[in-house]
Amino acid sequence: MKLKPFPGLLRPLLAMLLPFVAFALQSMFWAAIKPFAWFLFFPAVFFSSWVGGLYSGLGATLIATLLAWWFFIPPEHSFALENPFTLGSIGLFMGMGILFAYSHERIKKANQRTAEALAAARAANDQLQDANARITQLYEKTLELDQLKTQLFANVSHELRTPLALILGPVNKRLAAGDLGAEERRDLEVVDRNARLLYRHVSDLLDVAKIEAGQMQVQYAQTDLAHLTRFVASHFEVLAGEKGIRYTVDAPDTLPAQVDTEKCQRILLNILSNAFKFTPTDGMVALILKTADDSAILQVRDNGPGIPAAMRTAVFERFRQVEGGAERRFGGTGLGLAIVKEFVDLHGGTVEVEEAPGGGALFTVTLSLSAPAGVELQATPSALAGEIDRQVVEELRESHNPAAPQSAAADAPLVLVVEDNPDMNTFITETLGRHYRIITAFDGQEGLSKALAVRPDLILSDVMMPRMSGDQMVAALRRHAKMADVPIVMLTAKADEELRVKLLQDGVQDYINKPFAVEELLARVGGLVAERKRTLDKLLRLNADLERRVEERTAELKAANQELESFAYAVSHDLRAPLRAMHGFSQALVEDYGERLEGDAREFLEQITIASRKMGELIDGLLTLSRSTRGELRHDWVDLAALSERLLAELSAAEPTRQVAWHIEPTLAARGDACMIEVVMRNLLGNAWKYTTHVNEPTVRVFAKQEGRDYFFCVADNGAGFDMTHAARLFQPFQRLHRQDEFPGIGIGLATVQRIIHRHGGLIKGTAAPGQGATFCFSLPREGGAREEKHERQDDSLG
Amino acid sequence: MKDKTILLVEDNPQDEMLILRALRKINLINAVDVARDGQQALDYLFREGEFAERTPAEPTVVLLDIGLPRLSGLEVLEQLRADPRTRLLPVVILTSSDEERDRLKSYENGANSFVRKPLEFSEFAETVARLGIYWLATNEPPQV
Repeated sequence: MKLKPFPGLLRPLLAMLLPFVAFALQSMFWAAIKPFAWFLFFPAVFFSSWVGGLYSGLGATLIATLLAWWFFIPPEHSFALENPFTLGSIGLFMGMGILFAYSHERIKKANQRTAEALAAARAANDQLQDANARITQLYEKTLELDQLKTQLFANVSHELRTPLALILGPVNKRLAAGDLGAEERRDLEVVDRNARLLYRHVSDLLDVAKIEAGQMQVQYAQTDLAHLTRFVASHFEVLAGEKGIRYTVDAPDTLPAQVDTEKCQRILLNILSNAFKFTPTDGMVALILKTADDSAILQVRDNGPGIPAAMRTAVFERFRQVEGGAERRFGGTGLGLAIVKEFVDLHGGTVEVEEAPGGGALFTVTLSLSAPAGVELQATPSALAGEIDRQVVEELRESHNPAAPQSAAADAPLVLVVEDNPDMNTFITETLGRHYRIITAFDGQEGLSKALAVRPDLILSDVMMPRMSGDQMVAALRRHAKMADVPIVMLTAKADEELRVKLLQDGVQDYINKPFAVEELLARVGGLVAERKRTLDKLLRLNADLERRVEERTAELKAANQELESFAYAVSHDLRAPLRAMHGFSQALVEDYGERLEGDAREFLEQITIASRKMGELIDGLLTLSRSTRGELRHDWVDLAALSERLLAELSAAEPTRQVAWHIEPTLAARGDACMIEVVMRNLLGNAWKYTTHVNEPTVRVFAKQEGRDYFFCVADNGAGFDMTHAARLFQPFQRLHRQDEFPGIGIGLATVQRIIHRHGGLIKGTAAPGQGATFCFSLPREGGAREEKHERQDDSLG
Repeated sequence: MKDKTILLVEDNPQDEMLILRALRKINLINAVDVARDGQQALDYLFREGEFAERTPAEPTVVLLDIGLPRLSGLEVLEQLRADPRTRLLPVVILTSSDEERDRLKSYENGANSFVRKPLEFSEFAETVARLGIYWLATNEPPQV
């Protein structure tokens, strides 16, 4: 019963009024109702608790009880009781009232709960409706996307395949025509081969994408598996013959099965292609087809390198290759075996690889002979596109395409092309061959050895190559100093920014992205080669320039030397003549008119004579000094012992009165200019002779000694010696350490000696103590002249 | 000594005086003719120019200095040796130069002797005297 929405307070109020209403009514009709005092109060409290709730009900019960007790229970208008049992009815009434109150409360609560539950249920229902709506939306969208994907595959497949077909078609048409020149035919074959290769890669990729999208469907059909196997196997016969591989096919005559023929063909093709790719020449490939229970078992065995145990499951992963790096030996996208696995899985079969007995790989494919239950069979089995079959086999055959003879000039710059793809190699070689001499290599190792051998003007190299990759080759090349200035251009298809930066850091001059236009290749190569040529030319010119300047300088020096020679010559001639005159006429005067000369006259003339003689000595000394620095320095072997002997004998002959003892070491061999060495010994021995004049037992010793790395010749005397504190002046021209009246001399001998020794690249030093003699030692290095500059800076007078 | 003459080719007057003095001392002074430069020497020997009327007595020896004006002593020597009339004429190079190349060149050009004028006068006089004696007395000339 729906109650009108009363405001909160009104209902309890109304509820509490009901007893009064009942009282009022009962009072009016008391005569008829009497003695049923509780008559109308029962409904009153019933309805009051219904209307007002628990507390109203209780309150109403109380009020009703009081009202009824006062007004209607005999005696009326008092709380006294005639009959004590009436208490029971009062109690009963109250009890009933309370009961009503509580009951109504419960009902109310229950109603509330029900109402809440209903509301909640409704809300939930609403949410469910929303969710449903969303799901429906999504579902519709998924359906849409699915359709789009299907559309996409169809489109992409079409978009990619159509141009390829339009390339292959006309090319094949041209090739079929008979009027092709050799070069044109070769070029078209290259186009054909590569277009088909691209077709296969596109197909592989699309298959993989389709499988991933779950779009790949298996179309079962009834077919002869043995026949199919033999058919696919036959494609490889020519290849086996070429590579000298023992190829066996072991299959029953017929083997009926329900499979997707196209996919089975692909499975066989890919596994066989793998086997042939990795089997070396003179190897073996065996194909076996057999049955076991309700399954067909296909086995392909080879004796190639096999697959390492760790890779045996991974090898079926997409893009996984056993040798996947830049220096892998075999090309490929790594999808072949992945497709095999997917196709086998779609058939509900299994594929695995293990080591074949005797080395190599053994692939085993297990397929159920019958299609899964409830699958519809296609009427006609689908066939694989012929191109793919041929392409797979073609890929494995090496194309021997000799490049056209090059027409570059004999002195054209030399370019080394390093590229493993034979077609690309040929293409580049032909493109550049018109302008440059070309040498080719097919992997990094070959490239490296050829580059070091011929020293090309430019190197053009691919990055991904077997054995040694392009970047490894560059690193190895730059380690050789003589290859440091050879420009290198890399052909890179890898979209690798990191690699490019690394290449540039490693010393690559430029890189070209594949695919490239012929003009770009020529332009970049041409630019670098020209620049290198310019640099080399510049270097040659600078060199020539330098040579010329050196020659000029030498000529200048020669001229200066020449002038000096003439000067010295003039000096030697012209200075002596007046001296001779002075000397001569003084002497003549003394001889012819000597008796008539008085007093100091003779003395004066004597002085003139002495002075002119002195002058002569000076001139001689200076001339010797100057001559010691001019002229060629000869390299003779001088016997110092014999020379010393002779010079001492001369000195002795000039002064027979002096008794000087000398000791000369027997073998003293020196290397130098004989004349100049004589001047040295003459001076040193002359000094020794002179400065031992006032000694009792004058001795002169000539000997040799080793000091460190130097070999010294020494002249020692026991004469006057000198004070070492003045040693700095020892070798200065005109500087003397003794007075003229002590020992005569002009002080030029030692200066001359020093000059001569320095010119030979040797050292000279003098040691002495006053009154204890002096020792002069000099060295004459074998090479001569090596230490000249050093001696300009050294002061070697301080022995 | 029958009519042996010395041709002295010397441009330095002091040297000339000293040489003549030395030769006077050994009584060879009358046999000496003097030319004072290379051209004069050649004119004398080939009887050209101012010496066209010279008596045809070839000098027994020529004392030739190297340092002469106009024509050097070595060039004179060359020309003498080139001419058949004077090819064998004894020539003594008497010079103050002690350059090795002068000495070698002299001999290459065909000098018979090379003497350095010593600085010491006494030595000089002695040298000259010895030269005079040797070449006029001891040595036998090609032409008599």
